Amino acid sequence: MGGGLLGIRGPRIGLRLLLLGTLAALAGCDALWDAQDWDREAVAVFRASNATDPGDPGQPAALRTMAWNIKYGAGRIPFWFDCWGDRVAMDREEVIANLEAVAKVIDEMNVDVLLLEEIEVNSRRSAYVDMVQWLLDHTKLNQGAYFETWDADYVPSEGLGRMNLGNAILSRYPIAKAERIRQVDRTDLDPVTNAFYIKRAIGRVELQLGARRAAVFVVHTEAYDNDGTKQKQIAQIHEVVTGEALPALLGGDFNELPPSALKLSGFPDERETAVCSADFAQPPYTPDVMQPFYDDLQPWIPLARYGATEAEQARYFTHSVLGPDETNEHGEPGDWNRTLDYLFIDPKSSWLAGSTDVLQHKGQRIGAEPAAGATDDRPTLASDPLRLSDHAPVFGVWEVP
Amino acid sequence: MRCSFRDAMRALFACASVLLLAGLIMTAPAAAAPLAARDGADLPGKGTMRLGVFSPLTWVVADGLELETHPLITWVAPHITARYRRGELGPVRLLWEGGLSLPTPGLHIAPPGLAGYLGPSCLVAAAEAERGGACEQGDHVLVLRAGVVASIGEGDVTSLRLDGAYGVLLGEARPRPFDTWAPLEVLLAPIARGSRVHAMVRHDRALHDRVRVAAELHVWRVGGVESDMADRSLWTFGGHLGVDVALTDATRLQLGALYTNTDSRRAVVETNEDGFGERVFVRTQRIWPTFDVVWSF
Repeated sequence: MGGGLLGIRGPRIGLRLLLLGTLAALAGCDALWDAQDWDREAVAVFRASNATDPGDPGQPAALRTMAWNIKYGAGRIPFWFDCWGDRVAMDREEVIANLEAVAKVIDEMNVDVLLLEEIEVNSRRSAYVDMVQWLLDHTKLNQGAYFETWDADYVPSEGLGRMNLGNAILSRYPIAKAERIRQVDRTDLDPVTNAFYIKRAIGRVELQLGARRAAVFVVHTEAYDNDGTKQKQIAQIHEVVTGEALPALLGGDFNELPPSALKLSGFPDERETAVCSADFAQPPYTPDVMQPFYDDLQPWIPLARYGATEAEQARYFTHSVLGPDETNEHGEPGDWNRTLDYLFIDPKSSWLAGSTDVLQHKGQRIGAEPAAGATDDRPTLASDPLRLSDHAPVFGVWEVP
Repeated sequence: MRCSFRDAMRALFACASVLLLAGLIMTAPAAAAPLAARDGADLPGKGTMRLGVFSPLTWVVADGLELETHPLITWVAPHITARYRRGELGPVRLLWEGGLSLPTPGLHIAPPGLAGYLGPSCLVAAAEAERGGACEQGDHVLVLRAGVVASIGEGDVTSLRLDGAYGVLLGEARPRPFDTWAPLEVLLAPIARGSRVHAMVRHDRALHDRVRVAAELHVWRVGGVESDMADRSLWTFGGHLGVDVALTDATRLQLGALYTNTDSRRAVVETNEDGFGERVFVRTQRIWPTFDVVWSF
C-alpha cells in the first residue's frame, strides 16, 4: 500500500516499509523473533498467587502425573491449520472458558505434576492469556516452569501475530531447578520461514520432594518435517532422559506412534481433498523410533496392554484433529484415532499398579481393568476430554523411590 | 533497547556509505535546479508526475492540485488522495488533503493481496461454505482521510502535519486488530481500530544543490476497539532521519531510518525478590530502514 493509501504521509511509510520489514532484523534493536541461540538455558519458575505448602510427599512418593497437549486453550475450535475450519484467533472469553474446563480435569485427577504442551503465555491467537499463571492460580498446583519454543513479535502467516508458545511443567511440590535443552531445528524450510518457525526444546525441572529430588521432562517434537527432524529430536530425548541421574519422568506429545501400532496412515481426521496448504500434511509415521523408550524406560501403557488389534489399541488413542461435533468428508464425527502422547519413567521407579490410563471420554473408568472376578472400584471420569483439546491427557501415579 | 556491537557496526557502515555517496554527489557538477524539499505544503508545477519504486504515483493535475494513487496496489485496494495547496498565514503556506480508500479487498484476496499473510485466507470457507462460519476476514471498510500541512521557509523548510483517518465499516464485523509491526499497525488502524490521528513535525534542509537531509518527529494515536485483546497503549511515537540525493535532475534517491516506539505487548521475564518469575510488559523500540528511488517526469 502506498504512503497515501490510508493516510500516512511524512516519511511515506507505506508499502516500502512492509517490504523492507524483512530487512529490519538487520537494523532493529528489539528482535523480531527469538533465535534461541543457546544449547541449555535456565528458565524462570512461576508461583501461584494462592500457593500452599504441599508438605513432604514421603518415600516412596506417589505422585499423580499427567501429560496433556492442550492446544493453546482452543478446545475444539477448528483452526486454519487443522483444515476443518478457518479460525485464526480467539476472544478472551473463549480461552478462559476452555481453560476452566482444562482446570476441572486437573482438579478431578488431583494432579501433583502436570506436563503441558502447546501452552501459550502472550499470543494473539489465544487473546494474550498467560495460561501458565492462569492454571497456577486456578488449580492446586503451586509452581510452574515454562519452556518457550516459539517466540515471535509477529508471525506473518494468516495474521497469526504475536506468538509465545511452549511447554510447561506445573507442580504441587517446589521446583528447585528449571532449564530448557535445545532440540535440532528443521532443515527443510526456507530461511525466512525458519526464522519465524517453532524451535523445539526439552523442558527439564528438578522437583524438591522433601530432602531429595526427582527430574521431570516435557517434550513436544516436530509434526510436519520431511527431513528426519522429528526422528533426530526423539533420539536426542532418549539420550538425555536415559542419561539422567535422578529418578525421572518423561512425558509429552511425541508426534509418533507406538512401535506396535497397527494403523499407520489413512486416519479419518485427514482431509481427502486438498483444501489447505501442504505445509500441514502429515508425513509418514516411523513408529520404530519409539522402541528404545519401551526398551530402556517404563511406559505408562506397556505394549502388551496396548493390544494386538486395532480395537484394543483404540482404547489408548490420544489424538484426533477432528472433534466430536465436526464430521469428516464421509460424515463421520471425530474421535481419538491414534496414539501420540506418552508417559515414561526411569527403570528404578514404578507405576502404581492399575493407575495408568488415557483419559478419553466422559464416563470411562480410569485405570487398568481389574482382574477377572475382582471388584471394579475404579473412579469414573466426569469430564469430557474429547471436547477439550485435540489430544487426550495421559495419566499415571509415579512411585518415586 | 538491545543494540549489540554488531548492530552498531551495521549502522556505522550504513552511515559511512551514505556519507560517501553524499560526498561523491556533492563534488559533482551543479544540478539544473536545486533539489526541492518534500512532504511539506509545496507542490511542484502543473503537469509534474512522480513515481517511486515503492512510492505511489503523484500527478499535479492543475496549479496547486495534486492527485495520488499507487498504480499497482489500487487494483486490489482502490485508493486516491487529493492535495490542494491554498491559503497562507503570513509566511506559513497551507496544503489541504483528503483521501478515500477501500483497502479491505487487498486483505481478502491471496497475493497480490495480503490474505494468508496479514489476515486469514479462509480456504475452508471457500471450499466448503457450510464450514465457513468462522472466517475472520471481517467486512469491508471504507477509509476517509483528511489532513493539513503547514510549511514555513524556502530553502530550508519546516512543516507541521496533522491528519486523521476514519474507517467506515461496510457491514457488521470489523476485522480484528492486526497487532503487527508498528508502521503497519498505524497504517492499518482505520480498518481494524476504526481511526487514527497523526501529528508530525519535519525539518528539511539543503546541504547542497543535490543533497537534502530531513528530520521528523511523529505521534500516532489509534482507536480502541472491543475486539482488541492486547489491552495495550494506543500511542505510538516515531522519528525519521533521511537523506535525499539527486542522482540526476529527474531521479531522487531517498535513504533513511525510522525509529518507532510502541506498545506491542512485548513481555520480558524478571525475577522478583522471592526468586520467582514475573512477566513485565515493555514498549517495543525498533529502527526500520527506509529506501526509495523516485522519478519525476
